[in-house]
Amino acid sequence: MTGLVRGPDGPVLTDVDGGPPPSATGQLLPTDLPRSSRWTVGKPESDGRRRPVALGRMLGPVMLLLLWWVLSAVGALDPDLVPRPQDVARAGSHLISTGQFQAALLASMQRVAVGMSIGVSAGVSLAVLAGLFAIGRNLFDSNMQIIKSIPSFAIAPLLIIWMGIDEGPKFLLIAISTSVPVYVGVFGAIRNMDVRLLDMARTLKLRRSTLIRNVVLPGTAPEFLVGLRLSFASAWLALIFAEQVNAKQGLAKLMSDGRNDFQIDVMLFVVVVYAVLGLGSYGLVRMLERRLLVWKQ
Amino acid sequence: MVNLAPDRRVVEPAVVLDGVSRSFGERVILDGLDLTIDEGEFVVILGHSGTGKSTLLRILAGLDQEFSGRFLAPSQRSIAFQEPRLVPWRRVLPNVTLGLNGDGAQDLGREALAEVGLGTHLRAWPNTLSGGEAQRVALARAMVRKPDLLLLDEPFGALDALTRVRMQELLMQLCSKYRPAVVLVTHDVEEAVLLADRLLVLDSGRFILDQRVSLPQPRLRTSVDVQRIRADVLRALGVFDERSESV
Repeated sequence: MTGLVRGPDGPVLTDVDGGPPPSATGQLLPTDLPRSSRWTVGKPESDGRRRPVALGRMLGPVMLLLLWWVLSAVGALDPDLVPRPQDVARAGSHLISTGQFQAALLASMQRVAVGMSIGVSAGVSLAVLAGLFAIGRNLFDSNMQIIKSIPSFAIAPLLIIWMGIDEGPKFLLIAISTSVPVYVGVFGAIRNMDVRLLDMARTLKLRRSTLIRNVVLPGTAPEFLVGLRLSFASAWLALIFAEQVNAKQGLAKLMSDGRNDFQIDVMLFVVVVYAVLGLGSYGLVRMLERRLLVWKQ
Repeated sequence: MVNLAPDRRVVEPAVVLDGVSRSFGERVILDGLDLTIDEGEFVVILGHSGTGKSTLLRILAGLDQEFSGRFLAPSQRSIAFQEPRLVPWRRVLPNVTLGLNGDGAQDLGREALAEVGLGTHLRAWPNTLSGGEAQRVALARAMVRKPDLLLLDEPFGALDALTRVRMQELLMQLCSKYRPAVVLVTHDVEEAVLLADRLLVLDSGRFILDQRVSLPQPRLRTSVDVQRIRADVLRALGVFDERSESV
């Protein structure tokens, strides 16, 4: 069947489902078909995409919550093992009213913020050095591959032995695990840069700093953002390991307190908090995407 | 810049090639080229694909260091390629002023863009430009550096016929105003005859034709002289079909 599809320069006749092309004698299509199915004008399939969906990207999580609530309400879930959403909410509001939750959240977010700042800056810097200079590549690239293959929970005890039980090893653990994804993304982007663009830059006799700031680094933004998304995931994961030992404050402390007292509602509340934080970091990356990738349009 | 014979020459040479050769493995692409291009001279190089036209341009631009022989060229030289090669993540104006220092850089950039007719596109993203517009930005980026030597590697090759004609006119305007020496590589014989002060045909690593075109500008593509020179050049290229547009 043929259809009128809008091409880049206006409507063009195309073969929609690979059937035989219209014959030159003018017998284009069976005339007994209803008019609407004979021709499609514009891009009808894409109409639905533009329509604002209720709740947008929160639709999935809200449906999940609803499912939990329904299963609890009909008794499919044992409330002693899986508390109802409203019980979890009550446990949460209790933690909030005592201020425990705010203190824990602040401590954990601080660890992630500091650790990630260090890790992401290190990842980008090393990627630039390794991407642009042979000596940098020889020095750092294999090391980063090694770090990539070591699970962070394997080194957590070592860091504690070496650095004590203060904030230092917590920052470092998060920094190490967040540096790898951005390094991999940015390094790959630099190695795959368009040589024609770099040739052009060479003829403009750009200073190295100008070249890095204007040509190289902004071009790595798409891969950087993919790396950053993975870094966030690593950060929250590393946080859990980092807070296993001697965290006087933090989400993992809330979790382990809940476990010790067999308060499953508290434990589930912390799980929900992790989920919200994960979603929040995803939103943050998407916001960065809109700012850093305006040129892609 | 070496002045070869100051008392005998009216204009000084902009480019001097002295035995420039370039091989890729066993294949000799450029075979001991000698050439002197005067200041302000518009040279067009023609030749079949793979005859080393672009290689010569890359050598002149300083992008290819693996050649033998030597050449002299002004330090102020700009190049434009078949693709605009704009930095996609910088707007139009910063693309033009990229690497320029000093307070006046922005104003120079604005002027250069106004001259190519894009004075209202300063903040546009390269992705949103048409092929012709993007190529005009590339031309502005080349001209804003006030080059003594302008290198053009098939700059209009990817444009549609109408846009190409307009770009050729724009190029002639800019060149007659700023008088850089120009080396233009093209496949389009008619374009070559319309623009050139001097036509060179490169074949098997050597120049097999070096012809001055002393017709006044602007030239009409339908004029008898243009058609005659075009036929000469096509013959040098081994093409005898009078109707063929390019090689």
